[in-house]
Amino acid sequence: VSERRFNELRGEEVVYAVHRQDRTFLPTEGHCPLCPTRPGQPPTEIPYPSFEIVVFENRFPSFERPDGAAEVVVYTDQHHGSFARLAPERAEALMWVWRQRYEELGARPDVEYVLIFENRGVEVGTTLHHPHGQIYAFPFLPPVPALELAADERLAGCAICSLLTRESEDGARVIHSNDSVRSYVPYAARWPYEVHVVLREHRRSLADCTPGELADLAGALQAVTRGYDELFARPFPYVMVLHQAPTGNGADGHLHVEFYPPLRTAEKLKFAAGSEQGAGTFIMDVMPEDSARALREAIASEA
Amino acid sequence: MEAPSPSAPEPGRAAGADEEPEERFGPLVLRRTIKEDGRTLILYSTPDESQGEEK
Repeated sequence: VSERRFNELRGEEVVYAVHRQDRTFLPTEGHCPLCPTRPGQPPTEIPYPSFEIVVFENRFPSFERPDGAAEVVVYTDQHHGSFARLAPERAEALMWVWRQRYEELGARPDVEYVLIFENRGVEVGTTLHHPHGQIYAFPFLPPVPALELAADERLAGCAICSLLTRESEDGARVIHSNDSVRSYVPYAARWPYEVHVVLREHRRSLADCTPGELADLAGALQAVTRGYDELFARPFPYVMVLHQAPTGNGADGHLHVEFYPPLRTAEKLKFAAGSEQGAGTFIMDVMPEDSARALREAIASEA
Repeated sequence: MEAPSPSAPEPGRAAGADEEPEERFGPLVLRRTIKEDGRTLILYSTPDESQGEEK
């Protein structure tokens, strides 16, 4: 069971989930808990010999009933692969899975905010290589979505709508567009190759999207992640996070997906160190316009 | 090809878990299962999908 403590100095919750120290750490393929249970082989987390997409409650949860939930989303029964390399139909199906979990978890009285994310690569702390993501259903509103709500107030309207308009009019940092979704390196990116993938219409969450918008979102996310892998000709580590409306207080939101990749070159990492952690100010080595140009070219060459 | 062991689950069937009836959500078919340790698992399938990995 996790313990929650309020950090008065920072004004934010800290969650202690000490049982997670024992979670499975970078197992070999033969011991992967996210692979299917093969005939004659030891059981894995998934008691089926094949599957498309599976969601299950995390064995090492950061949150659990009656104070939220922690789930694992397995994208495929194939051990080797990535979100970028899923068949388009599977990526589109994943959007529906995310939507179903957002709606079901968000309807629970103990859930205030549903966070859907993927940590890809050991550089961002991945402990299992099998293609998968996670869902944390928070029993409180975390600081980042609270900041986004504060931005809405500061800009007297939807901040994402306003920023999307600015980025679209400027165009220098736009890296990909389709009918429903626009992707760009934000004007004040905090990571060298940070990307925001934004629904062009104001949609509070996946639940408000049309089927066509979900398909376009899947296509945009795959274009960006394939471009990432193309950029340095290597699997590109990232943290991918869906930002949606809180479910507990009726507040607004604007569905978008943010990527926080740690690489600043093919081999060098950007660390959140002294200035970033001690002062809260990110110091950047790369201009957003330059990283956008590189990503735009990578996406175009990969397509 | 290796023959399945007598205790192996049939394709599409879970071993050691209780299943509930199928549900529909958009294009998805859901099958909920309670694992032996009490945790919930949901199996999602798309009737039209033929493969998940691109070569």
